[in-house]
Amino acid sequence: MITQKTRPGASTVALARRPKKEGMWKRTFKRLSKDKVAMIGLIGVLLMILISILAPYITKYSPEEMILTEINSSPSWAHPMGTDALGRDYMSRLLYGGRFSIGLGVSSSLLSILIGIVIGSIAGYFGGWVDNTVMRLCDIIQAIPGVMISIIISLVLGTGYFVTIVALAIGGCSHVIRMTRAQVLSVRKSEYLDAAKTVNCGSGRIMFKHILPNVMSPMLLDFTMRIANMIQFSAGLSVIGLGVQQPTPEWGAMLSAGRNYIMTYPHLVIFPGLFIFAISFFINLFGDGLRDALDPKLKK
Amino acid sequence: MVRYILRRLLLTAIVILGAAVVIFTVMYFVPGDPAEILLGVTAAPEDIAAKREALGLDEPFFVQLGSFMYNAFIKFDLGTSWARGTSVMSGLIERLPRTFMLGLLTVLVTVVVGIPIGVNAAIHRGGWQDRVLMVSSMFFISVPEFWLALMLIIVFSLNLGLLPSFGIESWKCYILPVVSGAIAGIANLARQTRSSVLEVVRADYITTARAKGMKERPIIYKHMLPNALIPVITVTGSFFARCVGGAIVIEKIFSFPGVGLYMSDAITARDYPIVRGCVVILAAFTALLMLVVDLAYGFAEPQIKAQYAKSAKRKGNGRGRGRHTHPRGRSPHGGERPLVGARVGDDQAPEDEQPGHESQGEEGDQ
Amino acid sequence: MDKTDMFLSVRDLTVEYTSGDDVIYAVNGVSLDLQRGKTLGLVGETGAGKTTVAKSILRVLPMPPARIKSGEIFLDGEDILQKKEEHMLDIRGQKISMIFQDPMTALNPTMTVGDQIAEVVLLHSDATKQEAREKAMRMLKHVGIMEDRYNNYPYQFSGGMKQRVIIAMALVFKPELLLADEPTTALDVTIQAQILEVIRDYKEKHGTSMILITHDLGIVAENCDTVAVIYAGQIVELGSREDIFDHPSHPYTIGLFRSLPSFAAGEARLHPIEGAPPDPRKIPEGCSFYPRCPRATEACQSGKIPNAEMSPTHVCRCLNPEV
Repeated sequence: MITQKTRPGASTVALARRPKKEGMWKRTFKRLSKDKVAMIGLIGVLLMILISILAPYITKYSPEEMILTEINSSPSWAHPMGTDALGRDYMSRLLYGGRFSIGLGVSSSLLSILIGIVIGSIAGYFGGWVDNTVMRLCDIIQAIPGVMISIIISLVLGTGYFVTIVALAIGGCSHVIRMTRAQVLSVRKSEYLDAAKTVNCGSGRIMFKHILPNVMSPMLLDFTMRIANMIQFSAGLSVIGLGVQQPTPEWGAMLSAGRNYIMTYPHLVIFPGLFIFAISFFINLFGDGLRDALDPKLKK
Repeated sequence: MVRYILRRLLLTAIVILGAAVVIFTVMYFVPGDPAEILLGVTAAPEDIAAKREALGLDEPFFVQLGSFMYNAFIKFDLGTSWARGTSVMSGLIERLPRTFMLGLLTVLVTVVVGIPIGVNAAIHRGGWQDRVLMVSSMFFISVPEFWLALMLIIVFSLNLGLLPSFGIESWKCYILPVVSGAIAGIANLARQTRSSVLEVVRADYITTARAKGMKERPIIYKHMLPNALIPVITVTGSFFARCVGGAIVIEKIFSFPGVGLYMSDAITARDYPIVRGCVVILAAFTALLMLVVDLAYGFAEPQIKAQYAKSAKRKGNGRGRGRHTHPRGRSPHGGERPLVGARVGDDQAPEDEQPGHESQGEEGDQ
Repeated sequence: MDKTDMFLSVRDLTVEYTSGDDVIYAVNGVSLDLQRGKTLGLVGETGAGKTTVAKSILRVLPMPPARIKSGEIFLDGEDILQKKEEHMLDIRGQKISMIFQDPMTALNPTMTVGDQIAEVVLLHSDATKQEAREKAMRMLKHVGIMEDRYNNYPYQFSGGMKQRVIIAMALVFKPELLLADEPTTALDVTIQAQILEVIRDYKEKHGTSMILITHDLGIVAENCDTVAVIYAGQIVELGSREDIFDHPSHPYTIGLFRSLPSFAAGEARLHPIEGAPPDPRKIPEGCSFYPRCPRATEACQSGKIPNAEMSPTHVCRCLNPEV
């Protein structure tokens, strides 16, 4: 096996400060696609998204259609997952509910990250008292249990789909804030080393270009894992009487509403829980693989 | 070292005060007129106005905030329940121990079961113990906690009639709530422990120990575990915080008369002083617990302890976070972040829960 | 060299590592001998298999990935590879001790250095805790560390001092065989000299036999009686110090010497050996050095290369050794 000669000096080319985005993503994707378990997770997630989008084609019932003669009926051929307290076909509500639940998970997760990036960047960029204030606020928010934050915000904003998204998003942004801020700070430091080259008025945009790539990969992982968390969280809020409530066909709301009938009609509780479990499970499988693919050194 | 502890205590106190301010401020904006809620919509406007004045609701915001803070932290009075007229504090004093007990039991079960499973899996890496853990842990972590609780109720209470599903009369009442909370916790902790032990297993000092002529078992107990369990401290601590802070849903489902149910009922009744008081108390608890965990971590790892002591001597930079990088360059939880937990209250990524161990970027500020 | 005369005799040691689907052939038929009281220098580049050989002698290889496939290791006439683990537990730390390469990670960070030394004492004797402490403190003094540092933790020591602690641990029971795996590689040059002196002094006082693993020929010249050069898991040349330094025969050995920077010759460029060692997952047939060898011939490519005897004390695994 003849190997190439090493040439001295070949490796001293000045490294670009921006990580090679394209190479990194391609490598990550390659590693990921080889991970069978992660792929199962991804396919599972996509499948669930697909069936909720294609709900109208899968079930003939509409999620609002109330058949008052068939209240709370157990699973049967006509209604594979039974009906709820108002005679609505459960399976149809669950399938359509996927749009709401997964949508809620994705948007609150995304919103959380966006808020985090913006605030973290501001904190890191301006430094000084702005930074201090933001960090103190983060400390305080972390002291308050996450569910509590979402609860008090929900009290202010009320129940409902969109406000729940906001409430959940705010509860979880402190981690993202810290991460972003750390990145901004380290970039700032190295920027100042090139003081001669940096023109201050352009530094905002430079930082934006430099922060994002570095922050992207842990953020992506965070985003993925958070989705399932948010869905479960929201279900918890529904149980307390906040969050999403009926008649919105969201899995958590349905699960919560079914609680009252648990003794007589357990199917009302079992099925939504299964769906929530399923999406969490697939996301976890995928997320685990994603974490390994992003940083193989952490793999055990 | 003592100086460091005192400084951290002071900072924790500030955080708690800050949390109280934030909580009060947010809840100030909750819609609805408390006087109206109390007296009912049909009450006469003059009565409502009088009530408002009695409750101090006409005062400017800062006055209300000020009197709330004063009452809460100097007089230990968290207000009076609008619905029941009882003191919030007395309600909490009655219920907090129960919630605390529930959380403690859950953590104990989790630790006693989870750590050995994780250690076992790591030592027999690749063997059946390992594979069973990895596969099943994923499963149990994904199960929504309160759904599990409901399922357990269906099976054990309703069908088998073995265990009670509500109340607090007997010790049996604790079983189902603890199990529901512990299952995801065990799965998570086992994974974390496994990960942490694996990091240690290949360490050079383990080879050194073998070269001295030590048997495997003593090596595990004297060299591996003390090092591997250090990150587990922080994980367990934050788990405990979440158990207590996030118990609200479990308590509602099991009608367990703790802080969570107190709060949950108050939300339904729009009895906001209780809600406020509960959140403040839980925030205080969480902040103190995190401090304890941080200090415990410091004591366990000699190098961190020295760093804490050193940083206390540095001129007060008000940061209070032991500014350090983990000496072995790994994160406090052994390189593996806990997966999505079914625990309500888990919406923060785990790094959040350890105030002392921030990323390296923190070192960069003045 | 009759194996019964030798204190240590390694015969045809072969060790593999399994990593996932790959098999790594770390050691491929290594044989060497060591006389009582002498020092053998085991020289080679990183990855050549030196540490694996040493760990095999002590049998502290991580056994799930590693596997001693074949070979014999005779210590005082007995094949220790056949010994039960309980027997090895006795040998380790007492009859054979090892000093590791990286002092920064070789000590348990959560245990005081004193306790780590005392641990060795307690493992192999009936000493009480107090006696073990005292012995540990004496060992610290031996290696030049103040006794009052007994209760310090590893992080409070510099690299050189940590290495001294490790040496102290290794020498507690006056081992007959000391395996020193690159004991100074991780240290500054000035500290290197000190550490080697500690080891040398000890060795002279107690007549310890030693295998000194290094990639530094200078250290070999000053400390070793015999030298074995290892490449791609095989011993390619073995002889006395004079044999190797005055008459290197194997092209690899010659290449090593030539690549040493030499101020005297006033050269402007270095002469590295062209190419790189073979991938340990695919050891080629024939001579492993073939692709890089200036003296290679067709015959070198196939078959097992035998040991050519250059002199009674000097062998070279080469078909065209330099004479």
